[in-house]
Amino acid sequence: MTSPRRTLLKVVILGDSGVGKTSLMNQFVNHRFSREYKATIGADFLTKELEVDGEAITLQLWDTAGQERFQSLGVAFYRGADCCIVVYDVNNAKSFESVENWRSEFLEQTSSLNNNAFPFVILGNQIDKDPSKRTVPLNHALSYCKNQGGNLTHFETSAKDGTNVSIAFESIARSALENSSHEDYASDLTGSISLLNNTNESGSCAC
Amino acid sequence: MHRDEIKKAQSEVKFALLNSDRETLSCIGQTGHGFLIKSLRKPAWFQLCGLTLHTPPARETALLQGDSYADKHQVEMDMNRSYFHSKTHPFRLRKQRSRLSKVFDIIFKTHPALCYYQGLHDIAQVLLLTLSFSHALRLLEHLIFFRLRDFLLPSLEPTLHQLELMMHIIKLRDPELSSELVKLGVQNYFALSWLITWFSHDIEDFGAICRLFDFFIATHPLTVVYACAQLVLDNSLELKHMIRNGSGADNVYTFLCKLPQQLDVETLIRHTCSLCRTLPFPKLDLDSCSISKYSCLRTKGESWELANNSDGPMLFRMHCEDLKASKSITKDKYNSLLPLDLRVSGRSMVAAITVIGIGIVASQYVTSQNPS
Repeated sequence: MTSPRRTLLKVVILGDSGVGKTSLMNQFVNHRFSREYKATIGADFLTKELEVDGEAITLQLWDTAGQERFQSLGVAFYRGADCCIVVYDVNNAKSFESVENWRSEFLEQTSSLNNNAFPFVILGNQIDKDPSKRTVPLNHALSYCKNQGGNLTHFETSAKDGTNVSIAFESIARSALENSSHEDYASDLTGSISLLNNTNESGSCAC
Repeated sequence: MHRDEIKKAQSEVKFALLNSDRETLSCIGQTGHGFLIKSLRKPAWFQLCGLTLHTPPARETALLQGDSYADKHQVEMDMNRSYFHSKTHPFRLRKQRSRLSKVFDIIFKTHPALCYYQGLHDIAQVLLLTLSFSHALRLLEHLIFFRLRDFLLPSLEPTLHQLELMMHIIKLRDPELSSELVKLGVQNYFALSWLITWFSHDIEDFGAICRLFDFFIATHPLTVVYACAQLVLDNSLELKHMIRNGSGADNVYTFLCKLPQQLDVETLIRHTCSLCRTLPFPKLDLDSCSISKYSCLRTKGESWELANNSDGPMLFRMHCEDLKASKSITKDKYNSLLPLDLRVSGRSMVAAITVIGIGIVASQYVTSQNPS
């Protein structure tokens, strides 16, 4: 028996240093959280096989360095991405302000033909921390996503306790799948994609 | 190592230290067993760097002046993710982290032109775990100006040139592997953390990290680049096999990233030494990889002569200036490619209009003179 053909989808994870990019990726891929992740230098990826709407896919998740100094390296890994995740820390306003920089830098470097259609998933991480420490209110983030007008989905997550992590990544996988099939539409018009069912979970929104 | 062997090896180091025999110390760091224990590492590292252990009291006053420095936020972030391999008690962990933060406070306030990079904290940790605070500070400052300064420039370019040099060395030793990697489009960034942290970011075993530091401190700054290349060359067969079997650039890249995790340090050191013999430093064409004339890779002499043979802080400043100048040259080049109407300033616009105006008047004058 031959295994069904798997679709390989590439996803890049961007965001300021220390917001939890590596932790989120490891929580999703290995269901593990550790306080002992070192800072990421350069970039590396993990893969995860999953099924989305009956289609077998392999997600290749590229974790990148957050220090601005290394931003130019990321460009080499942006190529061919089907979805881009931008992470911020809900307890760090500066990391939220950087979301737009990361997004525009990504769009500029990939010079996507249709910038508005390219899927971004914005993740507000570290919601497990004491609510009194929060500096980025959910509404603030939601209105940012709405005002951008592009294909932006937002979730609030905790890489530590796993809140919303699998939901967010499922949505990421769908967005990536949808994007890759748009790109391939000329060569492959068979089979329709079951579109994202955007039920809003707590703290999540498809804007 | 057997107990007796360790004893013998230690006395060998002690003997060389007593005689201030830096040649022998350098040999022990390269082809020998390294400096084995903290109490020997400290004097050996200092002698090999041409430094005296009687350092004047550290300039902690710098800590009191000014409240912050440019990369403070980044340093704090990395500090909170440091010392994991030492498995220490939370109280001790806090203490170690605050020492790390203090060391950077002093360095970056004293030398505000230096730009912190993620990974420098890995190197600083190794020094702080091996030496007293003031000695770690002194040695880190020395390493920064004589071995790591290319990585602390405002631009990442000089670091990337060192990675290109690594690929160049691979090409000279194994052209087939090199062309396979290039053909596949594998990025050379897999070795970034090896290069800028002397492998301390990627190796878990602290003893192995210290052994590598013994090696690098005992040798020329270029040795680190050679060691990075050697690690790839040591895995040439497996890499070629992967590529032949259809592994894509991504899989090859991630395989390369993980090489230090299964590294036998003594083998790497031995092989790197033999690579340095077959491909001596003077034979290497640093220009072809755009290594700056101010780069620490260009310093001549033994490890303990680096500070005498070059003025690290001044070369760093000149390299900064050079980068600034080349950036503006690139800008000018770019400017000359733009259409005229996008680049002329107000004054030259006036001049251009005048010239065009004169041209029109002149052509009318010529026409009126020659009505036929």
